[in-house]
Amino acid sequence: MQDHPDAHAEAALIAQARAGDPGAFDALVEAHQRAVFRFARALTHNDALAEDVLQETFLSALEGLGAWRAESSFRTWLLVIARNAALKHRRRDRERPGEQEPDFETLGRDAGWGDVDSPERIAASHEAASAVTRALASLDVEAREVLTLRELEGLSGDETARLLGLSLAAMKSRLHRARLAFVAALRAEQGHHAR
Amino acid sequence: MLGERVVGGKKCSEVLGLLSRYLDGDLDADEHRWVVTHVEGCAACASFGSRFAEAIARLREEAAREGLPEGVGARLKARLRSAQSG
Ligand SMILES: [Zn+2]
Repeated sequence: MQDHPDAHAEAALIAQARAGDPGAFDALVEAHQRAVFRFARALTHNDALAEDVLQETFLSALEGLGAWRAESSFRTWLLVIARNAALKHRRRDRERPGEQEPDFETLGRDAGWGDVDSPERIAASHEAASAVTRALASLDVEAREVLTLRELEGLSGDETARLLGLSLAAMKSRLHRARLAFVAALRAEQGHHAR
Repeated sequence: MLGERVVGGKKCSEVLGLLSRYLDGDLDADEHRWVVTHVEGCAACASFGSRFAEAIARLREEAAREGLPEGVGARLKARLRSAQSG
């Protein structure tokens, strides 16, 4: 990640922050606040709640710096804290418990799989930006979460699975489903907004 | 799917199921060969595969583009300051 400091420099910053250097903690905040906010927004679907989660995450991190261990990246550690904070906020009434997960083929059809007559292109990068944002926002929380971790935060498959409390195989399946749903949503966005 | 085909010994739906792991370089040698052989002989899967990869590439570009909304960084800093001093 472009805003992701290297591990050695970061370990040094964490040591300084633990020793009470506020400038060092500021640098850690600066390096990770965008990632934490983005993930919080993916989970809460709400900028105001995401901001609460962002603040709670760094307040907990400040208090709990001593608990960080070098085995997990600092960013992953922050994202775990953010996820716990977001779960407390998440409004259950927006979820749809018990709903059957669609299979890959159903998702694929929505995404244009097998649609031989529509060789439509994905729009150029600058046109696609807002469609990408809207498409991501339209997905359910599980899909937004796994896509944010893997595609936006750049976590590895293992890190993502551990953070989500899933087996690697279950994470991969959820990721594939989420990607297909995203492709379908992007297609719908661009279909609706094509010239 | 409209006329699901068997190409390279694999059905379109089997290839669809492997696309993410293909994109992530996570297929074993056999699976990789199935996908490549199928896609070479199936225009529908070739077209969907490139659309799929392109859409995911667009999504990844979002990470670099997004900043914090106005004021969020400053309010975070202020909240941390008051926690650190109090
Ligand atoms: Zn095919």
